[in-house]
Amino acid sequence: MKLTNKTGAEAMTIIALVLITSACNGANNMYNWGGYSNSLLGYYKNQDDAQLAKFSNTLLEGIQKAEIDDTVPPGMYAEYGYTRLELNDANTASIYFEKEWEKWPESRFLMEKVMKRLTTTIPESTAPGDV
Amino acid sequence: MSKIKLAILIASAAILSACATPPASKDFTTYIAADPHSILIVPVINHSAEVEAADLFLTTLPVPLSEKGYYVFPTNMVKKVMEEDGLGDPMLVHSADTTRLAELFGADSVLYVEILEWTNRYNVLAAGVEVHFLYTIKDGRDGKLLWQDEQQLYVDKSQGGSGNLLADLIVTAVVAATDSLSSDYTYVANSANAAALYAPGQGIPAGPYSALYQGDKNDFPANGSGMISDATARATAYQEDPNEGMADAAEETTEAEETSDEVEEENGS
Repeated sequence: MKLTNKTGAEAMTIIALVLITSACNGANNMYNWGGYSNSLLGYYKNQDDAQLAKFSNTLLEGIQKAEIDDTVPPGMYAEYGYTRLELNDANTASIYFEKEWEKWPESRFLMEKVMKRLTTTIPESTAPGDV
Repeated sequence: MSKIKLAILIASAAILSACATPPASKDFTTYIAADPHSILIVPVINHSAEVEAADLFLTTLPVPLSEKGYYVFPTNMVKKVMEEDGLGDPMLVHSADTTRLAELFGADSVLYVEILEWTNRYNVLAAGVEVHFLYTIKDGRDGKLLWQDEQQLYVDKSQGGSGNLLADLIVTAVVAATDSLSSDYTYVANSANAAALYAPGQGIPAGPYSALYQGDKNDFPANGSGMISDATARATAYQEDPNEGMADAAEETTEAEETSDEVEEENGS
């Protein structure tokens, strides 16, 4: 926007707005997102295994960086876990689902539900069952 | 000072001070009482012809909601789990019972977003995009409407700003430090999200992980006005009148009923 030819009142309003806007936002970013949104968008634009692996790697790198100063965003462990599940690595997936609910108790119900699915799916396919 | 100049000055002051003195604050009584700690973002309904807009929009929602202090369910995982469970169609999800949907994920609240318009406009001097979004948050436990906001923006892509000064300033603060802006379209969505979620009196109060949690009641007051929404459009996820609790609206209804009674009496006599 043009800042020329402003009257004093307008200039004051702008200054006031900037001050108020910083109050609107309040805090700086709490979390280290590590390119999550862009990476997810890249995956949605081209949903193949290569993009999935790339998205998964970005998530892990982001988590590792964020863990240093404890700024892992909500959902991030679970997002990574789910990509591992899709890449047929259920063991890593369950480790990260557990990390998610330990950090974020709100996720416990969903994480436990997904892990139950994992543990019930594996015996069904391998156990002799009705034989 | 000429009258025109004065009018422009008043108009610009009104626009610029939108943050300080919003037209009318929404009523956060229901929202504060519900006190949601977690938000489930469901797939976006796209009424526009821009095929990629829904997925793009979805990717821009987790950051501002989490930074506002809420537990936001893993967006991609939720999308995939829904697809597995036969809930892949956004229309179906938005029309489904909110409490049953929230139960599936253990969510306190559900955010529904609809893209009502997403149209590219070109002229000699500029290229821009005109957008219209509708945001609705419902209580996952009883299905009550907690909050609703409508954003209509024209984003001038050649200038790189939304034209909404408030949105531009907030979006810079919220997003710039975290994810670089991948495209003009991401900027459009981020601008709208920032204006919808962060504007005092209009957005949503800080969630439990924010330092501002329960300390922003001046900005998001329980004023008892009954105005939960500023939207002109009705959401797929909530088709009743979002502001039915408003005192003025109730009076108008009564008056209308009285008038119609009188008409009936006159017709009868």
